[in-house]
Amino acid sequence: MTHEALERAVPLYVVGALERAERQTLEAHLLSGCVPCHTAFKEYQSVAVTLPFGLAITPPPRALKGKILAARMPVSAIEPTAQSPAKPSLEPGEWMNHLFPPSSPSAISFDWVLGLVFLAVLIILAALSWNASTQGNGDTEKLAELQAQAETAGTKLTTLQKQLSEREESLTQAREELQRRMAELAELRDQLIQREAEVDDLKAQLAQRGGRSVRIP
Amino acid sequence: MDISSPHAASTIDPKLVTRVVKGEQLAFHQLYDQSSPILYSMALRILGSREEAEEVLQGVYLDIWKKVVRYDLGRGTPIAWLITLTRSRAIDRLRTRGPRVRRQITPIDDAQTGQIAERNAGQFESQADQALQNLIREAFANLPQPQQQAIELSYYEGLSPLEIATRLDQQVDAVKTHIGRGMSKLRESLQLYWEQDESA
Repeated sequence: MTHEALERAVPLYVVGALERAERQTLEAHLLSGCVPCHTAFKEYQSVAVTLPFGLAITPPPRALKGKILAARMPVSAIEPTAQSPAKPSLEPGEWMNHLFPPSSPSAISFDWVLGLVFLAVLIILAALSWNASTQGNGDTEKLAELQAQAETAGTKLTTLQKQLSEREESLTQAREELQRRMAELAELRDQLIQREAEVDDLKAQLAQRGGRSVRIP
Repeated sequence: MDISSPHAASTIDPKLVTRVVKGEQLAFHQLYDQSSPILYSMALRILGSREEAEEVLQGVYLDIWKKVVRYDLGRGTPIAWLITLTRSRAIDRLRTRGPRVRRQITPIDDAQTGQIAERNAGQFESQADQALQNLIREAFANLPQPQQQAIELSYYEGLSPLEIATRLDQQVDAVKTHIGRGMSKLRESLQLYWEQDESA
């Protein structure tokens, strides 16, 4: 095929009117990087997708949306929770998820507390050994006092750890409860759409039977 | 919600499709509301059956939601991608029927859509879509009838030039010329609209 013939084939290509061999030849030519043909292809493609705008518009039945929503429910119920940590920004309706910190930062803070405890114990031991080396065995009272302080600090840290664990647990429960409620809300909304579709169907049936000005709330 | 949506199908934001792919419910609702009237009308025009048109649309939207099909900007605007996808599936379905028998839409079928169809009466809700509808209708009406027929049979019925030639009792080359010239005239008519759209 000459270049002119290929260029003439572009409008036929976009409406699907080329035979397989012609189509493959033109596709190879477009892939070769011919700029005029590629520009023509883009423009004719835009013409082709504009054609349906000329049709008389028939809205789909309301029940169709309900059907589609119902069919995708098993996926939608799982996906938001699985994907939420990867989302880069807040989406409408998702701001509530961010009231509670995700699990990874709280785990980090717990590790940080453990690290502090370990560091505190190390400092106390260092102080004890320094005291022992500088003052010898002379000041046993001070050593006992330091040990008591270390034990008190340890107890306090243990209490703090327990409190942190409890709070973390309650936050997890609250977050799970919130996610459950949001899933219920989504389900309710979809059910409402299905009901609306059913009402529309009923209206249509009533209209068919010659019923006039019947109002269904 | 479906009927009163002011958003145009011709101006669907690519970000909306991205949000749908992320699994956002509201975005899915919006994409459906904006695009389903034109996609359904096209599937109905191709298949001539409301049930089959519904099945095609259901497949398209579910595949978008489940990420079986993916949109990227290289494929043009979101509505161009959706139209291409829906048309391709509807034509495939038409071809798998075997003999080219199209069930005509009867008056009973029309009545089944009820008041919704009456309210819209073939028009888009948004002004942008209406403007495009008027433009393409006028441009198409200005084409000679053989060009209109050849484009329609090819685009909406998936017929090859040979099949169109047989149906219209014409030469195959004549059919190809009709399609080429008709599409070329439509391109010229839409050129000004695209330029204004780009400058806006």
